[in-house]
Amino acid sequence: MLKILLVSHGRFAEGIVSAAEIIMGKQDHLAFINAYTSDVTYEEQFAEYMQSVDLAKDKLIIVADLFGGSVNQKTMKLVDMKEAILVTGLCLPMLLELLMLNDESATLERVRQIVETAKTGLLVVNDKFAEEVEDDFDF
Amino acid sequence: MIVKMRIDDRLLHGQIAYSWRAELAYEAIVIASDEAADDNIRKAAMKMSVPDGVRLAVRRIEAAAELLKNPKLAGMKVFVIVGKPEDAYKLYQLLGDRPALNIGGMAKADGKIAFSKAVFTSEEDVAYLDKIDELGIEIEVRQVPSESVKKYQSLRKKIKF
Repeated sequence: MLKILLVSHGRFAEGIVSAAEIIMGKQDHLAFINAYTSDVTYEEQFAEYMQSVDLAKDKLIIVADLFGGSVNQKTMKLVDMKEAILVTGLCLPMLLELLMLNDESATLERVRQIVETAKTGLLVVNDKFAEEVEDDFDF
Repeated sequence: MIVKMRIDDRLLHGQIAYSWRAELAYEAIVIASDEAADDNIRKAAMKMSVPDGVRLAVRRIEAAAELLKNPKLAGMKVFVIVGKPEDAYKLYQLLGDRPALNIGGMAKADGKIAFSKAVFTSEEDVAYLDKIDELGIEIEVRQVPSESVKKYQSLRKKIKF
């Protein structure tokens, strides 16, 4: 099955799971790692999570908070990119779309599209309200 | 094809868009509301809460009915949202077909009484819902799909003005 792991500096990953579950309901395939919040190292936390994943059968998407951050850098070393999809820039617009995926639809191509779409959720609202809103139907 | 009609006075926001998308796999949202169709700021906010790949139209009730009757929508799963029972009734009158009705959220206000946890109704609201019920339309009360379904008719018995 599809599994999604969120990894972050501090409790961001846990917090965004809380937000997503308020919106989408409980998500059994969604997990998080709050890095640097205890004596346990990130590598140990990651290894523990991976015990719940069978890469022969499961699809795995990992979302890290920051591309240049140490959590992502460590993740890149720990995971084989042929076996998992790694994305950075964790945010709610992206996560909600990822949670709509299933085992079948969770392809690299679809994840690319989701990342592109999520970018449209980052905007200056002042500008948005000045635009005329268009209908998606031309009939 | 309309997969469901919903009454929600907030019309569309993220929780509704995403949770019902997972349940209904709708491809388009049509909001039928005279007030929202005339309110660009409200339209902009709703536009931002639509999931990827879903089409949105926010139209006055009569224009929404016209759009919904367009044969081009026959093969598309459409989720229809209105702001109040009166609008739902008007739309059913204009439509001809009888999609199931979901009562999602109606805020507390003066003169409204608690119909369920998230639904507060005036006497007028209930009168319109009764008329919809008389049309033989299935009416359920729940905010999000993960909640258990409550039937309108059983909750209605407890309501007296």
